[in-house]
Parts: sequence; C-alpha cells; structure tokens
Amino acid sequence: MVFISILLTMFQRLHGERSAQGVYHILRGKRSGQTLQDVENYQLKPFYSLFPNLSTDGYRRQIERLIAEGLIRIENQVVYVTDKGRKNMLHAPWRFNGWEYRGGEREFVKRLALTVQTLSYIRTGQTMFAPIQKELHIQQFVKEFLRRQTVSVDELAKRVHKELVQILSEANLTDLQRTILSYRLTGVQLTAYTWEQIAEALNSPVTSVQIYFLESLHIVLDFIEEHEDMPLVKSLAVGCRVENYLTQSAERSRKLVQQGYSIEQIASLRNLKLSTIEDHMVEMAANVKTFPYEEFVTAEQIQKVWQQIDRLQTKRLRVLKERCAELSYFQLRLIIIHGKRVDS
Amino acid sequence: MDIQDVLQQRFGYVAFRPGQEEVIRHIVAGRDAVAIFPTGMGKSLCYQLPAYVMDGAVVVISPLVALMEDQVANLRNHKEKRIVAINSFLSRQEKELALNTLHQYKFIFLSPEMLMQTAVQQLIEQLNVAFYVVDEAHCISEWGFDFRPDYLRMKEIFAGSKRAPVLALTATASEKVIEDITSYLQLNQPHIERQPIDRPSISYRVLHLENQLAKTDWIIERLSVTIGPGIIYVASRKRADELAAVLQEKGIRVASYHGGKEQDERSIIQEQFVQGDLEWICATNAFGMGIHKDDIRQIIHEHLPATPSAYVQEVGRAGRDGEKAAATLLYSERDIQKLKFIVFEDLPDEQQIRYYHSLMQTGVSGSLATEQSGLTEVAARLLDYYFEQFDEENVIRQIRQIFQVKERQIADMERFVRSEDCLREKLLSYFGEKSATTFDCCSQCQNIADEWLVRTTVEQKRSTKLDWKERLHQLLG
Repeated sequence: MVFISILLTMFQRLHGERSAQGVYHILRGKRSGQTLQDVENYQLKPFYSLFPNLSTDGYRRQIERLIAEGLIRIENQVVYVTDKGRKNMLHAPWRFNGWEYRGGEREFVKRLALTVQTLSYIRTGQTMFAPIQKELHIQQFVKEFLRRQTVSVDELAKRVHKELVQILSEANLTDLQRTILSYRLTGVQLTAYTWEQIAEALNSPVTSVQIYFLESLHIVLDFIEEHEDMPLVKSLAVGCRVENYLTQSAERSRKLVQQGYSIEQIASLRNLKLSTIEDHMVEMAANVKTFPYEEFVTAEQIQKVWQQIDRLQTKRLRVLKERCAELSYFQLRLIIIHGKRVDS
Repeated sequence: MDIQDVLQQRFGYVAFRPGQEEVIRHIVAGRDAVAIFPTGMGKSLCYQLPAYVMDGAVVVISPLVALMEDQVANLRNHKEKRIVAINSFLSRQEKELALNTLHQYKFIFLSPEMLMQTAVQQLIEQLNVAFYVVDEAHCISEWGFDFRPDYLRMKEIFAGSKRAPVLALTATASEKVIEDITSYLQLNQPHIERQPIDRPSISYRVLHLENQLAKTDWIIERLSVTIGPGIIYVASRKRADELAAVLQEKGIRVASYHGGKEQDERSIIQEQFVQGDLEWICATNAFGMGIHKDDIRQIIHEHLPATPSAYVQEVGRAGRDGEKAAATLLYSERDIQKLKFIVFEDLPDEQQIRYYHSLMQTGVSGSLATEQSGLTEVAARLLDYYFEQFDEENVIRQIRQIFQVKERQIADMERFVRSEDCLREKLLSYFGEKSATTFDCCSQCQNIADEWLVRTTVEQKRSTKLDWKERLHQLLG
C-alpha cells in the first residue's frame, strides 16, 4: 500500500505527461538525459534512485494492480491518476531525498550498525564476535573510525548513544520510524530484528516497514547534515551524499565547456553525436548552479516559452515545439529547466 | 618451529585431530595432498598451520564468497592480520589496492574467476608461494554434486612442473571425484587422507508421506513436540518462505533463509539462529556453510537432495558437539520426478547443444544464444567450457556422461529412501564405508531411542512491546 502511494504521488506530479516506464527509470536511478530531465522538470528528485533493485516484473505487477483498482488509467502509454487515485494518496507528504543519497544511505546505516555492534561487544569486554556487516570496505571504515577516537570505549559508547537519542528525538521522524531504526541494530544478546519480525511486531506489511526505514535514513542524514553537535554520527555519514551529480561522461563535457569549447567542437573532439552533448548540457543545467543559459537561449525566448507552459499547463516538448517552431528541442529543454524567472 | 609447537602456541590445541598431522607433514615436505574431511572435523587447520612453518604466501582458491569470509574471520580470530580476500564483491579500487600490496600477505584468498585473470596470475607468479589450497575441491568434478565450470579452468594453472605443492580440500568425495581432482589439478602422486564420514551421534529416519500437505502437517506436529535447534531443508526459495510463514503462525521461532534475501537480512538470521533467538530455519541448500553452531539437534529434509554427498553434508551440520542429533528425510512418491526436473534443467540436451553451437558460430552474442536455445546460465557456461576443447560430437558425449552420473546419483538417493535395510549402511556404502553403529541407528533398524528429543518446556512468547529508547540503552549502556 505504501509503495502504491509513492507511485501515485509520482504519477500525480507528472500529471499525465509520462509513461509508466518513466517512473520506473526514476525509481531505479537511471542516469539518462530523459530521466534526469524528468526528475528536474516534475519535482521528482526526492524519489530518484529509491529502489535501485526494483525488478521490471515487480513494477509491472504494481502498475497492473493500480489499474485494476481504478487508481490510475493509461491512455496512449501515458499515465493519469484517477479521482479515486487522488483520494487514495492520503499519506502525509513523503520526505525522501533520493537525489542526494542514491544508495549512500544504505552505506551509512551499515556503518552505524557495525559501529554500534562493535561498541556493544567491546564495552562488555568481548573482543570476539561475528561482525554483522560482512563487506570489507564497511569493516575497514568502522575500524578506521574507531581507531581515530581518543576516548575510552565506555565513553565512546556513551557519546554515540547520546547522539543517537538526540537525532532520533529531534529529527522529524515518526515513532514507527524510530522503532524500526533502533531494532535494525545488533549488539550483545540483542540481534537485529528481521524485516518480518519488525513487520509482525508493528502489525504492518514488510514492504511498508522497509520503505519507512529508507525514508527515515534520508530524514536522519538530512538532519545530520544541518547540525554540528553530533560529530561521531556525522563522521559515519561522510561521503554518503552525492558529491558530483553529473554522469562521468557529462562531467568530461563540462570540463571542455569550461575550457571554452563549443558544443559542436566537443562533439567532434569526443567523437560523440551532437545530441549526446546536448544531453550533457541539459544535465549540467539541471545540476550546476552557474549554467551559462545566455549562450543558448535569450531572455525573450525563456519568457515566451513559459507563457506557453502556463497557458497550456504542460511541459510536453512536442506541444511546446508546435507553438515555438523557431526553437530547437534542445533549447526548449533548457528553458524548462531554467524555470520561469528571468533575472537581469 | 615444530608443527606441534605451532599447534599449541598459535592455535591453542594440545593435540591434532585425526588425519591433520599426516596432511600437514606431506605439505611441509613439498608433496601434493587431497584431504577429505567431513565438515567440522578440522579441515582448515590443514592449510592454516603449515603456513607458519613454511616461507612464502598461501594462495587459497575458494568457490563461495561466504566461505571465503568465514575462513578470513577464522584466521583473524587466531590473530593473523596478513590476510587478503579478492573476489568480485570488491570495488575496482579495493581490488587494485589488494593486488598492489599482494606481497604483504601470508594468506591470499581468491575466487576462481579472479585466479583466471591474466593480471592476477602474473602477480601470483612473482610471489613466493608456499603452497596452493583448493577449497571445496569436489566442485571441479562433474561427478561431484556441486559442479562449477569455473573450477575446471584451473586445470591450466597447476600444469607447470616446478610449481608449489597443491592441497585439495573437500568434505565428501567418491573415488571417481578424487580421480578427477587429481587429474584436473595435475596433482603429482598426492597423499590422500580420508576421514570417515560416519557420524555415530546422528540417527537417521526416512518417512514416506502422501504429499506436501502431509509433510507440512508432520513438520508442524514434530516441531511442537520435539526440540530444536534445527534446520528444515526445502527445495525452493518460495517454499522456504511459505513453510516459515506457516510455522510462524503456530508460534514457532522460525525464519526462512535463501540466496534471494538481501545480505543484511541473511546475517541477521544467521546471528539469531546462532544466538538462539530463532529455533528453526527453513532453508534452501544456501544455508549451512560457514555457520558455527555446535548444538543443532535436528535436520529435516522436506525434499530429496540430489546426491548422497549433498545429503551427508547437510545432515552433518547437526550434533557437532558430539551430543545426539536426529536426521529425518520426508519422502513422497513424486519427489523423484521433481528432483529430476531441477537437476536436468541445467543440463542441455543434444538438440540444444547443436543449436547453441550453430548460433555461437554465426557470431550471435553469448546471452542471446543462451536464451534462444533455451539454456540456463549454468548450462551455457558448461558448454562454453567444453567447446573450447572438444568438437561438437565430443561435447555431446561429455554432457551425456554427466547426465548419466546425475541419474545414477538420483538413483542412489532413491535406493536410500526406499531401503528396507539399515539406512546408515546404505548411505555409507556410497562412500565405500561400513557402519559400526549398533544402537540409535535408523528407522529401518528400529533401534532409535528418542526420549532426548522430547520437548519438555513450553515456548515463551517473545514480548512484542518495542521501545526504541530502551533498545538504544541496552545496546550502548
């Protein structure tokens, strides 16, 4: 039910302008021009890359279920949320932040789990235990983290405890989320609960528990990002936020732009199609604050297109192209990302 | 240092367990060896100890990441830090770092795929290798129950005449498998050390039941009146989940375990089972390797394992503490058919082989050819390997041989479940052993004393009140 609510929220934001496949790519975190532009244009960044392992089959079943229950309908491949669907979106606004973490949140919670387990064992004098995290890089990270600490293990455990209590109390989590988070931690005589065990204890479906857990990680990481008085947990979160939003290929194009090359030159230098370089420009526009729009579109053009967008209530390129034939698709895409406001 | 001193000082044991010393002495003397030790009988020490009396690094080839991690953890417990494990789970940077610093390590664990990479081989050649270890060596033989085509490629590696000694380790192996290990790994007159696989503390039962429903009922009843901890082996992931759900409803502390679960979840379930939070596990054959739990009292098979070796290995996880343990195999008529379907699914037939070959020759991509000729992933890898060295007719002949072996193994299992004589005797006969057990043997001998199995305590329902603050307090004080 919770997953369905996410889908409905996303389809609603795309208000009848995208196929079901578009949402699938967003949830999986596909790094293609179209998907990156969709998340930008339709305010879907929070949902980006939430379920990197979502299977085509699993997704298709959910879509079929939404149709069967009359919550969405599909016409010409495009998804529309029905009135019944809108009534079913009763869930409070989602607070995911998928765009910033893209799986990094899982790295964070693995480090946290191993740190807590290690402290729990060592403070009771047990130096031998089976680490709950098997991945070598997690183990190395935690080892390094612990090695850097100068206080006693008891004191360290106390401080981590204090920070966790503070985070869980003050971050904007539901009680359900606090419970899920704390019961996914392992220690002496206390092994973490499986998803099924948490679901049973909380009387809630497994997928809901997993989704609330994911959301709580984003909320916690956002909270840590904004606060300075929790140095220990903060250093467990190092590197979990995306630092470079561009794909590798787009990043290479960006460097060439910086060196003053035109997009045509970049295309021939890199032996890529012009349209690919245009995709890179769109990706940069969406992610780099100082994108030089003026090199590609004028203020008048931006104004004109946005008047159309407001009047027609759509961002579909084909429709806009009919009204502004003098502009290329590339220019239209940039203008949509640019937004309505024209400075200077 | 003498091996006896190392045993005491490094590993803290006073005496060797049977067979260990013989294997170690041969390796130290520079001979090849094959060690067939039942699970839990101290196989690992056979390579861990000689590492400390020989110069150079020990290169261990291990087929499963879980096993590799287990071995690494085990060595760390003995205060060994010079260990590195290189497998496909490492990121590119981690792999590079490991490879660049290879000479620093005493123990180098490699997956077969890694060993096959030319760059890795070159690095290994530059090292001073004390000896090689091939863990789970039976995987190299298509006669074994766990055949891995990847392993076959190791053939080339050990070809040189001046290479370091090779130690092949396995838990179960028939004569035929040992022949394969010897020839594929190019072992030079290896010392063969075989420890008996019979475990007198385990008693065997085979029960004939009508169908799966009857099996489910039997299991529910069994778990309510007898003790755990125990493992129920089932045929599929789906069935593992299903059965666990049914048992949970009855208030049994049980979870399912299989390769389809995420890694974190599997770690938690293992840990809960080891700690005793869970009394039962419903599992596919993915569960077991690397689990250190000595007090498992029951193993129940709801399906028919594909080979006697697989069965012996799974049952052998019980009663490691030497106390009594019960093995029960639930059998119904159709199980043989089901088993054949699963086993032969991965084996291409003649038509598929010819079609796949013709597709590959026209330059179609491997994955497309696999799909179009209706092969499984495993089957395609097997064919790829054979086509590298045989022509079409000989590939077909090879595959037909494998087919016959598997068919024979299934027939062995069928004879076991239908046996009217001693079950232990039957099972051991497949490994050329005889039984010396005279009491508490099996359901055919009708001499089982089951009093110890009876549950006397009532299961306390675990409190379901969850309190996050209390939880954090318990974890961190």
